[in-house]
Amino acid sequence: MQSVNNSKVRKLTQLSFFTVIAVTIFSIEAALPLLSPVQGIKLGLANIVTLVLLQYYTPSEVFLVLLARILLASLLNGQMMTLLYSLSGGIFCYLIMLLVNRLLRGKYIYITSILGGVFHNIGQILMALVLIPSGGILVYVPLLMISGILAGLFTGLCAHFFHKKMGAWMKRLQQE
Amino acid sequence: MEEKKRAVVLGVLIGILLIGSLAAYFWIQNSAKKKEGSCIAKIYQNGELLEEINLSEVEAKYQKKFQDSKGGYNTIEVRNGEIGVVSADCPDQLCKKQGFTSLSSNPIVCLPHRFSIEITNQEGEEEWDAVSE
Repeated sequence: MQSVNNSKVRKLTQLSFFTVIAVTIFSIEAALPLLSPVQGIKLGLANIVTLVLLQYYTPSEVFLVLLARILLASLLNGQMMTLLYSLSGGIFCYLIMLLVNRLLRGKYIYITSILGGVFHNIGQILMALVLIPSGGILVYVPLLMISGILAGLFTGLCAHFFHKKMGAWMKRLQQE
Repeated sequence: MEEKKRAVVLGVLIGILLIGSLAAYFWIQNSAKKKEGSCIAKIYQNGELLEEINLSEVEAKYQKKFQDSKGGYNTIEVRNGEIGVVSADCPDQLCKKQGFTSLSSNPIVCLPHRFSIEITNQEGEEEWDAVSE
């Protein structure tokens, strides 16, 4: 009994730890000067956390961290709009990354990440279409696809290197 | 090894997406510039068309303020052939940064206020001589 409770608490603490990291990364990135006047062009560095967690935790646990991060980051940094867009982008990104990660058995994280970036932007475009029902937004699709690919590649490489250097540490964290 | 094959397939798909997007991007930029004739700006808020302005017929520049239901505002400036947002109270100010536009490839969008300006170019005088039925 004791040990089960302990491990639950431990797991919760670990996930909280990663949530805070993700929120911090997101907030710092949000504070930096924008790369482009187009809404939605960003690096999405917080996704590195999601990517790494996918390798070590169950899908529900990763999703929990994702939701918590989106909620907290939106509360801290923006308003209702931010929440809707982040949620939409985040969920699309998460679902495709879950699928691809499973297909690739955890290898080639940068491919998972690239698709995550693309689908994140697809999610945001869809939400934009819901909120601003005019076809004008669609001219941004090509740019957002390119941006999603490049950003995904970058974050994927970051996650890949993290996995390489800190993989052992992550495993120990889990098993303690 | 199975994963490698899948990775390659996905990689190819991504490559196609990338090339396609680049092509689409340049095509959009290009095709918007070629058009001549009158330039109509359409102003949307919450999905409703609020106003249509023929930019080519604008003589003196003027400004107009648009407010949304929550009190947020976007002030636009209309000039001959151009339109843009000059001030707004949205947190990201991206709409202002988008500057002035006269192209359908570059709409001005303020996501927090669900406000957008789209440009449609109409061809110059081009009457059909006859239509057969």
